[in-house]
Order: sequence, then C-alpha cells, then structure tokens
Amino acid sequence: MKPNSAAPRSSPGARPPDQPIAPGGAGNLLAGSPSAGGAMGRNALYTTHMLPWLQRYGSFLALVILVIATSVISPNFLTELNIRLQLQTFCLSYALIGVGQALVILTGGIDLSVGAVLAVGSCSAAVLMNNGYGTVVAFALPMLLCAVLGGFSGVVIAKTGIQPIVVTLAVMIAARGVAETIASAGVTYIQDQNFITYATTNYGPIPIIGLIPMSVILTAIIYLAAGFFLARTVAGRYIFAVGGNERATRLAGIPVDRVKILVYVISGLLAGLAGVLYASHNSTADPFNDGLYFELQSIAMVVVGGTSLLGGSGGIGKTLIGGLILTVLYALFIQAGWPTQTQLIANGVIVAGAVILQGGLGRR
Amino acid sequence: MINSLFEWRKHPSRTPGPAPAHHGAGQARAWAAADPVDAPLLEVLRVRKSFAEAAGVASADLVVRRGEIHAIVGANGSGKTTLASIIAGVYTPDVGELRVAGTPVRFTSPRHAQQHGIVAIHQEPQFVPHLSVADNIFIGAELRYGRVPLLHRHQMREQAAALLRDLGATFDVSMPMGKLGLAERQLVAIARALSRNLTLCILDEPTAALGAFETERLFEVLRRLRAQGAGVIYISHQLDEVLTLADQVTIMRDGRTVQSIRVAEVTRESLISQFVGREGLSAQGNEAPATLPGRPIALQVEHLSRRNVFDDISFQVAAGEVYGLAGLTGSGRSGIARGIFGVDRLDKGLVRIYGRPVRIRSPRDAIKAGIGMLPEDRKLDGLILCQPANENVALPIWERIAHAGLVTPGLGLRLAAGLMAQLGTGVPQRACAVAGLSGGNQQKIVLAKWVATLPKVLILDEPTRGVDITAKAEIRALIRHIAAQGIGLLVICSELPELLNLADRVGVVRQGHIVAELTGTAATQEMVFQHALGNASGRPHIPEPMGVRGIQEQPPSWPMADANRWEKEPKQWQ
Amino acid sequence: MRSQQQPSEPEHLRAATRVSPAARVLSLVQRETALIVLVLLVIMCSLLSPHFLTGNNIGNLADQMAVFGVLACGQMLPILSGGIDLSVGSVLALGAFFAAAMSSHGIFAAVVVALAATGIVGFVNGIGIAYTRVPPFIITLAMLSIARGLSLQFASMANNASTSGAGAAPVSVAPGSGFQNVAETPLPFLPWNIPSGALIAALVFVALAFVLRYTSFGRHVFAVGGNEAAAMLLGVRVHRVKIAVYTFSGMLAGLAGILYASRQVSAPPTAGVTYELDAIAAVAVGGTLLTGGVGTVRGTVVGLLIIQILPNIFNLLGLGSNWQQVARGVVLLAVVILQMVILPALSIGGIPMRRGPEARGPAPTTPAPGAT
Repeated sequence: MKPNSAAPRSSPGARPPDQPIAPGGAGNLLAGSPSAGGAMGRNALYTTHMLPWLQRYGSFLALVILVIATSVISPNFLTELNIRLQLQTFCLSYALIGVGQALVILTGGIDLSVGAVLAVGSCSAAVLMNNGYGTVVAFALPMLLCAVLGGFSGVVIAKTGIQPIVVTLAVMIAARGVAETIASAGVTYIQDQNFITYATTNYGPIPIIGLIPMSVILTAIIYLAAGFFLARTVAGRYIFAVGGNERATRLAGIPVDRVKILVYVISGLLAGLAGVLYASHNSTADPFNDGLYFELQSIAMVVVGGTSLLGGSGGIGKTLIGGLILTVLYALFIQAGWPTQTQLIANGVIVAGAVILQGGLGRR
Repeated sequence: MINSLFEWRKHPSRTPGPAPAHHGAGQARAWAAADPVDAPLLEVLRVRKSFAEAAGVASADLVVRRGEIHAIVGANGSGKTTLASIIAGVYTPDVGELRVAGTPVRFTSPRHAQQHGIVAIHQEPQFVPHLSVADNIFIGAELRYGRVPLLHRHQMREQAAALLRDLGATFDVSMPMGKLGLAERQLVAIARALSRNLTLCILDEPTAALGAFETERLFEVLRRLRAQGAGVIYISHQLDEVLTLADQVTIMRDGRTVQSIRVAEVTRESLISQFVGREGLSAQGNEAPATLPGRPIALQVEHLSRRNVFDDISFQVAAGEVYGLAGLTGSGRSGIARGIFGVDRLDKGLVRIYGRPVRIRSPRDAIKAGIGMLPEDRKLDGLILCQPANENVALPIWERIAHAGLVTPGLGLRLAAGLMAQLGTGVPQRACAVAGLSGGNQQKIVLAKWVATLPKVLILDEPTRGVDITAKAEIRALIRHIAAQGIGLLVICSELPELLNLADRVGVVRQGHIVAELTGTAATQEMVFQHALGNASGRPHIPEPMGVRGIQEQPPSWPMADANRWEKEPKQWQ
Repeated sequence: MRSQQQPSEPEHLRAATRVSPAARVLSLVQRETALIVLVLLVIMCSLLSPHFLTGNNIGNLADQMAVFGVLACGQMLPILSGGIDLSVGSVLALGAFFAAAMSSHGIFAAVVVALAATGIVGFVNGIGIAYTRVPPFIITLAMLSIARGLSLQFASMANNASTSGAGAAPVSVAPGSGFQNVAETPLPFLPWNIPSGALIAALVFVALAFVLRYTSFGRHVFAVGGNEAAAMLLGVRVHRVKIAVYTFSGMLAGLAGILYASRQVSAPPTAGVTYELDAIAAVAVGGTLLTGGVGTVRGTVVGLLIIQILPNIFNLLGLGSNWQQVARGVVLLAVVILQMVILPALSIGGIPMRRGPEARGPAPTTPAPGAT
C-alpha cells in the first residue's frame, strides 16, 4: 500500500469558487482535487446548491426515508417495544466502537482492530466474572486492557509512520489471539447472574419513552460526552486539525503524535466497553466470533454518516445518524425477508459506494 | 558488441513505439511524411499559460532549429520551467500553438510528447528505486524478443551499459536505482532520454549535481546530438555553460520571451542586464532603514549549517527590521528558514532570540521561543483547507485562549475578527472554508494566524507568491505594519522587486552561503544577480532536505507527481 | 571558462560501485533474512522433535501449504503494485463454492467456472481501484464483505434452505466426479506422500516468478509499486496493470478455493475467514515491502514456510495454540516495523526508502513551477 500523504495535493488551475460551505463539511470536495474540477464544470446548479445541502442533511434525510419505508412495510416497526429492541441491538453491537472509529477516522487514520479488541474485552470480562472478581473489576480491567491495546496501535502509528491499516491489521490478528488466549477454554459461559442482566436491565418507565435499557443509556451518555469532547475541547479542535492537514498542524506546533495516540486509546477503550456489554448481554464470550466483521460495520457507520475517510470533517452526530441508518437498513432487510448475509453484502456496497461518492480520495 | 551510442541509435532493436494515439491518424501520418528539412524542429507561437495563483507564461515565442542547442535563461519566476513543461507535454497552453516540424501539435500528456520525439529531463528525475538501472532506462519501452512479450534482459543490460559508457559512467547497470547518488541518477535520466527516439531534448538545470567531468561528457553528448540533427533546449542558471555550449539563447522575463539572440553576439553582462529589464532597473532598495541603530537584536543566528544545504550562516535581524534573503532556487534559503523554525535539524549553529540562546528541535519549540513561520506552500503547509478562517487562525493558540481546556464556538471567531480588524483586512463569510478564498485572502489568513501567536520573530517564505497585484500591495502593507509593531521579520522572496521594496537589508545566498549583505541604494537587482549567480563558474549544491518525519518529501519542482491527471481529460485542467 | 584538460574519471563514480566485503555480507543478511530465519526454525524443529523431517510430516505440510501458497501468490501481486487485497479469503470461499457446485458437470467445468467467477470479482476490484481514488484497502475490504455475503447466499440457495439465513451449509463436492483428485492424488514419482495440490502450487510459484522476472508486465508491476507517478510518466499503462493485478489475485484466490474444495470435498461458505491475513503475513515476512516495488516469489515461499512452521514450533515447545495467533500478529507487526523503520535507519547497503516519489531538493513549490 502506498503511504498516505498528509494533505491533498493542490492542483494548478483548479480555481475553487467562493461560496459558503458548511463548517467542517464539504470542503474536501473543493480542496483542489482534480475530480472536483471536472465535476464543477458539469453542473453548477448541482454543485453550488444541492451538494452542500446534501452533504449536510443528506444522511438525516436518508434516515427519515428509511424509517418511513420500513414502517410502511412492517406496521410493527414504530412500536415502543420494537424501537427499544432495535436501539438495544444497535447499542450492543457497533454503536460504541463507531464512536471510537469516528475519532480515529477524523484524524485521517483507521482502526481495523476494533472487532478483535471487542473480543478481548468480552473474553476478559467473562473470565474475570467467572473467577469471582466482581462487576466493577469486570468492567474496569477489560477496558484498561483494551485501552492499552489501542495505545499500542497509536504509538506504533504515530512514532513509526507506518500506515494505520497495516498496524491495526496486525494488531487485529494479535488481539484475536489474545482473546483466544484469555478465553482458553473457547466459548465461555458467564455464571454470575447480576452481570448477565446488567446490559439488559431496563430503567423506567419514563414518560413517552417508556423503558430504556441500560446499554442505551450508557451509549447515549458516551455519545454526548464524545460530542462535547469533539466540539468543545482543545483536543477536539486538534483532532479535526490533524485530519484536515497533518503537515500544517505539525507546523503550527500542535503535538500531532499525542493526538493520534489519544484517539487510538479512546477507540480501544470504547471497544473494550462494548465487549463487556456484549458479554453481559449474550452471557457468553466467544473469542473466535465476537466482534467478527464489526470493524467493517463501524467504518460503514462512520462513512454513511458523512465523515470523510481523509479526515478533518464529520462528527459524532453524523456518526450516530449513520449508525441508525444501518440499524434501520438491517431491520428493513429482515422485514423484507432477506437473509442475514445480505447485511454483509450491504455493508460492503455501502462503504464502497459512500467512499466513491465522497469524490474518491486524494491519496492512493 | 555495440560500442557507441550513436551506432545503436541507427539500428534500434526494440519494437517500435506505438503510433501517437491521441492524434487523428491522418495528422500523425502528415507529420511523418511532410518533414521538410528547412522547417524548424520546434516552434512555439505566442503561447500563454496561466495558473490561478502561480507564475505562468504570459507570452512566449521560441524557435528551435535542427542541430541547435538552444538555451533559455531568466530569473526566478520568469516562466522557464513552465515553458519547458508546455513543450514537454505536461501542460497544454491556454492560447497559442506548438508546431513540430511545421505541423501543429497539441500534446495531451508527456507520453504523447515523447511519441513525437520530445523528451524532457528534469532536475529531479523520477525513478523506480528498486528496479535496476537498466530497467529504469527501458521502462515503458522494453526490449523484447520480437513480438513475444519476453524481456530481452541481456540486450537491455548491454545497451544500457553502452549508453552510460558514452556519458562516462561505468557503474553496474544491474544495480538498483535507489543506490545511486544524485549525479548518477541525472546521468541515467539523460541516458534514458537518449534511448528513446529523440528529436528534441529538454534539459532543466542538468548540471546542478554534476561534477566537471560529467558535465564535460554531457556536453560532448549534446554536441553529438546536435551534429545528428536533433535539437536541445538547455535551461540553466549557469551562464558560463550557456555561453560555452549553446548556439542560441532566449531570455525570459516575467513570463515573456524577451529576446532571442545568437550566443556569439552576447556577453555575460548583457545577459544579466536583460534579466532585469528596463523597468526593473529602477527598483532599488529602500533608503537608509527607518529603524534607528539602537534597536535590540530580535533574531541572531550564528554559524548555522546543515550538511549539503547551507553552511556557516550568520546574520542578525533587529526588532522592527525586515531582512530579506535573496538567491536562486536551490541556494538554500528555504532550508535556512526551516532550520531556524525547527522543521529541519541543524547540524551546527546557534539561534538567539533577544540575545537568549534557544534550543529548537521542532516547530513547537520555535513557537514557544517566539518564532513563527509562514510556509512557502500555504496550501500544503499553512492552511487547513476544509476549515473556515477562524479555525485556521486560532490553531496555534487554542491552548492559550481556552479556559481549562474548553473552547466555545465564539472564541475563535472573536479572535479572528479582532485580528483581522487590527490588521486592517476584511474576512469573507465566516463559515467559508478557506479553500474557497482567493490566494491573497488565504495568505492574509496565514499571516493573521502567525501574528496571533505574538511572535518576536516572523519568518515569511514567499509571502507574495501566487497572489494577485492588489493583494500583493495589501500584504506588503501588512508586512510593514507587522514590522512597525517591533517584530523582526525574515523575508524570503524570489521576486526581486518585491523583496527590494520590502527589505531594509538583503542577504544574498549562493550555494548555501551568504555571500553579500546589501543595504540601501546598493541593493539593486543587478547587484543581487551578480552575487547570486556568482562570478566564477561554481556549481550550487543540490540541497537534500530530510524534512521532519511525518512531513512528506515533496514532489520535484516539475509538477509530475500527480500523474493520475493524464488519464482524464487534461484539457479541463487549465 | 572551463579548463581545457580532460579530468580523469572521478573517484566518486568508481567508488559508488566498490563495496567493502563487510558491507556485502551485511547486505546479504538483510536480503536473505527470511531464509536465515527459516533455516534456524527448521533446525530448531528437527532438534525438538524427531518426527519433524519425516516424509509424512513434510507431506502434511505441503498439503496445507498448497492452498496458502496459491493464496499468497495471489496476494503478492497487489502488494507488489503498491496496494493490497483483503478480499482473497472470501473469494476463496466463492471459488470453492463454484467448484463444488459445478463438480457434477466434471472437473473441467468446475475449474473454468470457478476461475471465471473469481476472476470477475477480482476484475471489479481492479476497476474500482484503478479508476476511483479510493485506497485499495477500502475497496477490497468492502469486497471482502460482499463476497462473504455472496458465498453465504449462494450456499443457502444451493441448499434450498429457508431464507432466514439458517441454510448456509457446506456444498458438497459431487461424489464420483473425480474432483477430489485434483488436489489429493499423491504424486507417484516422489518418495514423500505429497499430493498433487502441492504440485499445482509449485507450478503457480514458478509461473509467477517467471512472469515477474522475464516479462515487461512484471517490470511494470514493480514500477507501479515502486513509483507510480514515474511509471505513468514513463509510459507504463498503470490502470491496466492495476486491473490485471487484481484480476489475477482474484483468480488465484479462486484456484486456492478449488484446491480447498478438492481437499475438503466440500465448500463451506465460511471457508477462508482470516486467510487473507495469513497470506499478507507470508508475503510480508518473505521480504516483500508492503509499500510495493520490492519482493521475490522465493521470499514469499520462505515467508509462507515460516508462517506455517511457527505453529509447529509452538506445539513442540508446549505453548498453547492460542499464542500462535498472537504470535502471527506480532510477527507481522515486527516485520513491517523492520521493513519500514529499522532497516532504512541502519541503511546497511539498503536502498533509502522514501515514501512517495523520491524527492530531494529545495522546498516544495506551489503546483506551477513558479520559481524557475
């Protein structure tokens, strides 16, 4: 693979027009990439008026359309029970790792190891519970371990400059092995009853919404925290900057390495938490199959939401919408009678399609 | 056993190259058939090529005859390389025409130009580092066993060795390219160009990395090419070489071909005076600097050196003074700036800010010490294009303006607005990504960003590059305003009139050394050129900046890197 | 002006070709690291266990390696060209499916259909990579998912199972079709019990090595991986090369699938999960730079052997099989770090490995050459 260059190459003669662009959005299309130059000429109406609007609200619109479509096909879709179920499924699979993935992608990297790290989280939680360590430890230690794994990825990526794909691919392989080592007995059943129900405890009833599962609450808190982190802290500004143009950010004196390590640590941490919740919900931990293909789902979720794989534009809110789109889409498949493997195909098509639609990328 | 380069050229054993695919077949045949001996090899007629923000060619006319070595000379930014790029097929001219042997042609890609026998050799030849020398010479035109797609490796190696031997190089052609030094790679590039069906060879600063021996061999080869009836375009700053080698010389200034004259009728001094031009003669340095002698020294550098880039650089910049660095490209000016700012590591030397020595290992250290740098390439190094102006301006100082690590949306905006007002410029719609702004506005934003860091010393690398006339004036005013605040400024500018206008003192850099410091009325363009080009026939080092790891190596000065373009419609690409 | 005498050939040109013996040895070590490691491993293994070098064991190893060998060859091409193909595991499953499904129509039909189908998948990859600017890993990652879904879907369709996804059962090779003989027939002329699948793999190795070394296509693949911009400027048809490379990768993954189906006498739709990672590991360990442009088939074979022998060592040393997986990841990471960081830093007769086009010279100019 060719190493990614840190910034889009500027191009002679492509004159970007003066026009308002949504902050943190659509700029990539106009950042002097040659394909943009061609597209500009073709249909000014499309590019000047429709495209920025689409960029900003397109995914939300898609979500609304999907929800309508699904509830038309299946009248049960918008019932309280079903919504709770869907949300729970979402939160227990790729919601949390989507946040971590979003942060990593915003810096222009990618984390392929999240699925395997999730398995590490679930397996270590299972083993800890079975050895009588208590819920607190069963939450804290796996998260710590996974944060360390993420930090390892981050350090290697930041300090050696090797591409994130390769490093996280290797960590993915190794982490899968770590999970298998931890859960040396294979599929591990968790005995502790408290723990098992932890993720599925419902709180409420809350007016209008009804019962809310614990996992949804936790996920909501994390999304809010992550959104705040990105929008309101200096570190958040740095994350956008590194993704937007790593060279310029480095030249502005920002500690780029620290920023990169931070996002991978967060990604690992959240994957660990997701793993613990996963184990809790399933009451088992399977080192071979837990988290399999989750990395692709998290990338799909981030990309569908409108975050560019180049980095520098996107956000947590967009990622949430992307995740909800996927959830509804899968529900649609099931309602339409399509088998589960359709999800796999859909993921692939969605990722490829969304990335191509983003105008491709400036790097090889 | 084939011994001589030119014997081989008469009996090419490779499969013939593909017919020019981009022309209509009729035109290609016309070109081959109607080949009148008296038509000039290449004609460039009123060619114009402009870029949005960079120097281009305003109006160029050139005639290269068969059997002629034609030199093109001119100052930085005069458009020499652009013109050569157009001839080589890298760009298509906006206006004007190219004719090869009397037939109009329109090159859509360098490969297309090569099919017409026009081959260019760049300053930084592009190679595949892990393939052998022989492979690199023949790539794209490999020798095969007739029509079978099997490589005739033995023959490739022999012929490659023969080509190189003619150039005086005897290194092993099975060596991987990456092991060769710059001089050797230059020779291989020349050998590669010679191995194709050559009718016109363009060389851009070919001897910059070559020693006397290789240069002499190169000249022999070029003279033999001339004797064979090929044409050579030779772009160089080395006026002595030009006067020795060339038959005809064309002088370019400000994107125009000013004069084309036989070398026999020209002298070195008259060439230099042509660089400057009549209008330029009036541009001189400022009157005695307005700053009083008692000002403190904001920046003092002592004996800075970095291997192969610059050596023993010492100068001072007083608070409120503008110190300019002039010199040819490749002389090391930007390297000095990057060394001071911590981007490149210094081998030796000391930097003092207001007398206090500072240890700078990274841009972060430099900013903490009170140094800022406006980079040469603002799109690549200076701006985050997808973000709006306020984000860009606030970037280096988030930590300073945040309350307990938290920022509010208005924070950056207020800062940016205030700063812009202070600098006397307006900021376009606040939500606008800076990618959508003009070059001048972008540059002002970068300036504002660095001013916001409250620097003691500000380094400006090409502050007016790629900026239109009115914005240039505004930026000049801004620079003076900044200097008036007591900030010491180090300005690098390749456009001499600009530099002389701005600077109180000018240091001329040549081959990594400061060879002269000019002040006041002594700072004229002619004087600068005299020092920059040097009196003796020395050769400038080609600097090898290592760059900060993580900051990518840069594409060569010919914009060859983004080669994906050629597969799309290059005409949309203007 | 210039002095009139001819200076003799300068020292530095001659010096460039003179290499000290120490540097030669170091350079050899660097180039053949994988082989040295392999030899050490083999020695270790045979010391630890007397069964290691028996005919049976070697036969077993060769058998396992047939599938992985072909897969690694298929992976080598995209990596050499500067990309990567993450979909080969799933494409293997597709190939196995088509081979098994068509096996009732005879061996020839099975092989042709499988190769054609997987070739098409690879072709789609190639088109996506060549004509959009999306990085290869994204396209092939998406294809990994798509192909896996497709193989599950085809399998359940073939089994006429219910559409709720429960029917993804392995498709059996038609008995009596002789298909299982494709990979299973032991070669009569060798003393060890090596099946013909290994021979097929060996043929693929030889063919790939030949193409890479002796055809212009091979040179072009190296060129695209080494410096794509230069390659394009020098007349290499980069897009065609890329499409061809990924098409071959798909077809070789299909061939691996054929061998797999033949060995297992069935085509489970979950075949090949994570095989792509092993293929990448083998290629990387064998000395192929993951950035492209450097690599030998010989190296890939050695890398493959190392990756396959490692589990053996773990077993012999009494380490659990779980650590093997960890070790695989760690080995891959270590190799990549070695390739990218340590070797260039040490620069033992190594080639200065810059990222992107080789550039020395003054600071970057804006896109137009405004400075000269």
